[in-house]
Amino acid sequence: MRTKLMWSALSFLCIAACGHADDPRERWLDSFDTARAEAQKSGKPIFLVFR
Amino acid sequence: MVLARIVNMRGVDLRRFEFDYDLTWAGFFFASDGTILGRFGGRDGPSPDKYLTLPGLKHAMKSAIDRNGRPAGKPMETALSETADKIRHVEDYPASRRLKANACIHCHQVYDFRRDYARSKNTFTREQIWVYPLPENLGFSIDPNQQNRITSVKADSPAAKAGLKAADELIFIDREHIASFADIQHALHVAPNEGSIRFTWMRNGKRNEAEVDLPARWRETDISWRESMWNLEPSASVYGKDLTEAEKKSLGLKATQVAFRQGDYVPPAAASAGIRKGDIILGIKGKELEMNMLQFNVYVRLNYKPGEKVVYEFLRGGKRQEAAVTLPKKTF
Repeated sequence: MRTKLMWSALSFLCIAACGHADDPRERWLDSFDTARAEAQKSGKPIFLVFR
Repeated sequence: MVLARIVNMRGVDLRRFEFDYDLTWAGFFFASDGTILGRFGGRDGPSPDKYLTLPGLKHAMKSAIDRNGRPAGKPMETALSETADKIRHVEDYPASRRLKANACIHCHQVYDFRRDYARSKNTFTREQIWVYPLPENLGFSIDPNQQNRITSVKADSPAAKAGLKAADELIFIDREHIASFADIQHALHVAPNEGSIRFTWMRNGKRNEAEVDLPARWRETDISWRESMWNLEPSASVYGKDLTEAEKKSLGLKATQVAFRQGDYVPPAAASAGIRKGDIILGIKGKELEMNMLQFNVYVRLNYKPGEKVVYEFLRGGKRQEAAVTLPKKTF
């Protein structure tokens, strides 16, 4: 339950931060290296979760 | 913000990802060049979720976004600090070879394998157990909904003596920027075992700084909730479900004393001493121990040595009995 709530909340926050209407859960990358490459291109910060 | 989630510690660079490995959820904020902007997560003994609040996350996330000033295309490499034992990946610990090839490696196993490695090298010390201390260890508590804001300061504590007060908003502990409970815990985790550490905070629009003293044994906390606790030796060799208050009362036991029903599997050390499934373990002969089963398991690990003989008291069929258990030693 706790995990579901957190994912819902994070999805909401990320929609607000990123301005996208699609499901942000589909946009969770699965490695730091991939995230870093994307962040380097865009200049955006990274939020990475261990769970 | 770029989002990523990691569900397996295999392949994770421990130089970059140093966090409380007993947590089931831990977050990092990075700048686009790999610099850590902040952390989120953390817990205390009684409550796994207390600091996993949406307002708390929002506050920490906003702080990270505000502090990220790196333009696109900036070269990516931040110098990484070497780990204390020079092991960079969990799968490089010898103990990890007990796992099947490509098996998922859980976060808490970092502590398990790291401590096994230290024991095999005779470099393990008790101080290595006390990871990620709580702010309460220095006498202050934090607002779960804005996790750099102090809600209370205990009288005569190191925090009180340094001049911290309720409603103060932390900015730095040493050089670590503070926006979350996890930031505080990390700053305390890397603080020295003795001496002092500098706190910087805002009060009524004014910046303040002071040294907070670190008294002897300041890092020690209740570690009974930690999965990695079970890896410490010697094993108590008994475990099970705590009796309820009503059950204790019906047996004439104090509500707070240790009393738990031995589980289905009886470890060899206890079994050979005569303990059986269903026995009600009452603790150690001659000691009044007010604690639960998990805390009892920690108590034995911290107060006895492998190979030592301990007399457990237990109830079976309403009769009080004793069993002399030789606490087991791990082999590597």
